Amino acid sequence: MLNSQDWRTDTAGLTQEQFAIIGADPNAEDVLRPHVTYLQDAWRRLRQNKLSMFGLVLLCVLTVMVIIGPIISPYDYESVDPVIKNQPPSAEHWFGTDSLGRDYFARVWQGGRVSIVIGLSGAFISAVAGCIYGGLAAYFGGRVDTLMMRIVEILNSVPYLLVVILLSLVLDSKGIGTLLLAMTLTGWCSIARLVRAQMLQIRSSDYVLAARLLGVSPMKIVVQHLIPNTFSVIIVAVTFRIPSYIFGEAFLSYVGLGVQAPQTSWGALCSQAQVGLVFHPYLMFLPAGAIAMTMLAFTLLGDGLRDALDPRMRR
Amino acid sequence: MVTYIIKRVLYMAMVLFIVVSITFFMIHSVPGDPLTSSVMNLPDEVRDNYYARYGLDKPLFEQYLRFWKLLFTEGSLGESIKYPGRMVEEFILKYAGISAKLGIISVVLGFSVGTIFGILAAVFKNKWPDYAVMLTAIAGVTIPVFVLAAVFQYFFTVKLTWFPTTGWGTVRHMILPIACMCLGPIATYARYMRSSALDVLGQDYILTAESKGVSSLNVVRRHVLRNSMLPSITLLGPSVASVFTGSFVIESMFAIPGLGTYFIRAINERDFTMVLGMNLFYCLLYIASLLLVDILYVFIDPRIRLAAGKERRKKAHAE
Amino acid sequence: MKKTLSLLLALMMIFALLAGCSETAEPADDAQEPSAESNEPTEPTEPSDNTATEEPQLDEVQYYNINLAEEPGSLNHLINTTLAGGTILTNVLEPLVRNEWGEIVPAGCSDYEISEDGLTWTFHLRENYWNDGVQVTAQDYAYTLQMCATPATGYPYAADMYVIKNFEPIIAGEMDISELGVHVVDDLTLEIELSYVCPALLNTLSFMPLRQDVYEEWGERYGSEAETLVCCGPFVLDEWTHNSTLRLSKNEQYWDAETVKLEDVTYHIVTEEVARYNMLDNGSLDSLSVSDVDYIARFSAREDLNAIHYSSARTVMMVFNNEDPAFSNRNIRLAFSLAFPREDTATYIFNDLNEPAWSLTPPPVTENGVAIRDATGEPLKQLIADNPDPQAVLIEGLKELGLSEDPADFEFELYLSGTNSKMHTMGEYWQQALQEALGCTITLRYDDYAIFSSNCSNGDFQVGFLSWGANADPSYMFNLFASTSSSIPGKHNNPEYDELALAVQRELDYEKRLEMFAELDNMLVTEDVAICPVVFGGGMTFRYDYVYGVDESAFTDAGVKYVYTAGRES
Repeated sequence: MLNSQDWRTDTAGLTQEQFAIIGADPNAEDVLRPHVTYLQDAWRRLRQNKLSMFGLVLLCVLTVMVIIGPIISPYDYESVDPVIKNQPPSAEHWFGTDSLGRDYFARVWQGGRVSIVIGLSGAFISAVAGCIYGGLAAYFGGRVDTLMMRIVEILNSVPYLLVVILLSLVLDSKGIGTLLLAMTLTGWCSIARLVRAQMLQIRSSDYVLAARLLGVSPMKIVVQHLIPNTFSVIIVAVTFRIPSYIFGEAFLSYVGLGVQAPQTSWGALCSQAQVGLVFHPYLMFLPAGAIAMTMLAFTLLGDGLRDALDPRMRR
Repeated sequence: MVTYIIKRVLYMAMVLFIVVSITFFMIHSVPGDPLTSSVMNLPDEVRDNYYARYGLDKPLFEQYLRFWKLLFTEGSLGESIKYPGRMVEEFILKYAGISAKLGIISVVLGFSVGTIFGILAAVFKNKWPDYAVMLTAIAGVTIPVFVLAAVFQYFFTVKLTWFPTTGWGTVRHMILPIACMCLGPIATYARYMRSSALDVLGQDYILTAESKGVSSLNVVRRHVLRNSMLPSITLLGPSVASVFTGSFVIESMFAIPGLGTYFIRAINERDFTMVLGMNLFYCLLYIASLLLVDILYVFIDPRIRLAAGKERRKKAHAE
Repeated sequence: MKKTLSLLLALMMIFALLAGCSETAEPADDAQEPSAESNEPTEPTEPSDNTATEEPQLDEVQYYNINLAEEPGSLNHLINTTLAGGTILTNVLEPLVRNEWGEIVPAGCSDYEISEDGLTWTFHLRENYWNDGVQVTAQDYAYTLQMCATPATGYPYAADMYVIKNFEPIIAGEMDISELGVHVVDDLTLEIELSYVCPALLNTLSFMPLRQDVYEEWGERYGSEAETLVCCGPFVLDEWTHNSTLRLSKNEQYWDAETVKLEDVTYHIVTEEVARYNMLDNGSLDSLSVSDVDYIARFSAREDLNAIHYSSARTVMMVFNNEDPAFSNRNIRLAFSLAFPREDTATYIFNDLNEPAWSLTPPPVTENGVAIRDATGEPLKQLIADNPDPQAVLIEGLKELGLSEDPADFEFELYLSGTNSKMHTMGEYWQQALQEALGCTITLRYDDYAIFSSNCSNGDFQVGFLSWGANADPSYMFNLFASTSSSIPGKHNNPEYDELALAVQRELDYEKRLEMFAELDNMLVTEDVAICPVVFGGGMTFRYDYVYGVDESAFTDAGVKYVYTAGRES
């Protein structure tokens, strides 16, 4: 390229003719890297996060085990044989047997089917509902906010146990739908409050004002601008929701909602292991461990996702 | 701000009224009454006399009006049906304090330890403190309280006789219950704190402060802490409310004479007055705590405006 | 007036199904003969009844720590509905008579007479004092009965008092309270008139005193706090920390204070099963009923704990809804009864603490020393032997109803009350066992007790599980299944049965009574198959070896009056 010394020495003898216009590269301003969207970029960064990938793998393993676990076990998850009750893990029964002599390996994985579905879908539903509700309340503020938040207060103040008992009587259905309804009925409220608080903080930001002036619809502002800025909190909330739904399901199945015997779930297995905890700790720690693994997977994944999605972290 | 608070208090009364009304009609629409929960099928005249004793023979709406009348004329929540001779407000006044003693200590402990853990995890992101906090948090949420209580009780009162197994009265009675109760809050606050502290640490003003040469301790203290408290404050509100109503699992495991065991039993035993009175109490605390949280928001972050009034006035002015 | 503990026990149904209740609430039948198997302690080397063996050296400080499974509802015996309340009341009040070691012995009265026609009972009271120094009079006992009969009291167990003359019309508001068949002859003489001959009167009811002036002073609040109560029993209630502890101390004014050795008794209200076991383990409790198999093994291995196997005088049964389309058919009911795994349930679910049941009456119930269970025999066993294939019986029943003959087409529902994990485990076991034996599909439904009983009395069930406590009077259990009684929801209706159940209550000749019981049992369990008996309740009490003088009999209301300790390490 240009050498300053050459340039100085040669300046004197230069004439216009010595220069020719060879034209500018029309593509000079092109980005050489391929164009990536926000989500693609996030995915790329997520993939680079080793811990998150471990979380993803863990989740896949759990899912696979839940699907094939009951099949590869030589025993049926529901058939009782009280003669061999409360046996510790052995080559015969890999996870031991429970108080009715049922194979615990088959039961843990069978129970995971319900629990994982409930945990994930419950968390997802309440996250979506909570985000939209909290977002709209915060965006509009004032009267709308007041009204919407009073509804949350009422929902959270009516005794949950009563609501659930009534639901089980009115709906008289043991399906997963009823169960999800009962659990998400108030489950989204805390997420809504978290989202609202975060958004109250950012709604007076300049970019929101700009969007508003440009006539962007409120829903779009909430979904496209406000929610991404609260992702970090939402992700934590979702990871916390998962175990609480898994345990919540056990509580509900006891008042007659949700999965019914002989079906089982991780939460139900934990409750049944309660009294004998000191004597048969594995009956508790296997399902509780499975819940912990699920949460670990989501926490790792969530932390990675948080870093990947955070617009401020995008460098 | 003052008008805002007055307004909110008025709304509070409205919400209380709605919640109590809903609860009243709900508890009466669940099958069974206090008598069927302890005695099955009695002759009509016995049943009638029993109902009359507790005013359950009147039409439902009359019972409903009677509840409000009693509350406003005598300041009473009525007589418990399961524990006859004892008024519901008596239970609340006497035992909420016991639950609160345990609850406040564990919430304060949970909140402060959780906050510190969360900040540490954020500052040392992807280093061992971060992982340690994460694992603690997962354990704190996935180990059910009843497991924790059973294990603690077994090891510390049977294997090592360090503490009394059950009961209430001395500091030694409080240590195990508090230990069981604060693990969950520590986990929760730590995780939320970590997440929002990371958000704050990525902000430009932190960079500015750092480049100005502010020590990292001061950065955390002056900027990070305050700006990342919002989610924790949001969660703190309701947990303060439930402090007074106590924990069912802990109180029944350690035989603590708090309020925690009464409410769930009252529902199961259809102790109508008890359910209603205790729920009124809880609801009052809950919505008051939410109001408090909303006010705290404004103090923590001046950007937050609650009342729409000022905004509207400004708009009108501009036009 | 308050019914005996055992009657309270009888009415408190399902909660005690798991034998996890309080100490005195689940009495044992150690002193009684009828059930030989259940009397054997698991540790044969240790004497189960240590009162008889030797005269031990009394400890200088006499105190006793036991468990109460729930907070007493009220210590006003006119309105209390909890078992825990009854347990405390037997210790602080003195009934006219008590049931001690299986016998009715005079307590508040020194003796009593029955008139020729059996309708007038005269009680002569002892000289006994309330703890505030006032003498206990006949008026105090009469006052309880008068208050029970007053409609405004809302006495929940009034139906059991109809035996007292004019009680029924008074409670219905048709007659004045002064007409009640209870008369105070003088300060120490009480006369009770009956509306029909009732030989088992003192087995059925217990007569507690109530001080009118104290009751009127406190009004509604009477019995809600320790200071509202006056006591005339072996103990005085000193302190009641609600939902935590009740402290009793010896009543120095008590007529038999010499016999009472304990100075302090503490009832710990601990509702959580595991917490109770931990308390026994470290000596915070001196005695506890244990139902969990692992804990039984652990405590049995301890040298310093005595194991006492007791029968709780309750029957766990399956009640068929006789008005359900399917279960109105006898063969269908019979198929369930035949297929039911009684022995396996007793062994695997109840760890041999409960006995399999083939008849209605639990073993501790006796008539003149003869166990009713032995008198009735077990005809169901023969029926089971005659019909080895319950599925065939089911198919027969379906045929009779004109339905499909393939059991696999049918779904039947077992209805259980209680929502705890033990109930669930039990239900899941029966579900599997019955499905296997009958080839039909069995579903389970659980509800809390209030919903359960409400649904059952509305006939909204097919097969319901109940646990019902017996009474020292054998006719009580049989009377539950008369069509006039609505206690048990199966809608069993057999005029012949009704007639016999009524007759047996008034029969004085005990030989004849035994025959009638046998006939009633046969009708109920094998002819009508109204119920399917499952197991007789039982449990295991573990007690430190320094505790003596506990009455283990099933229907005791001695409380802790005779308990003392000797050789407790201080």
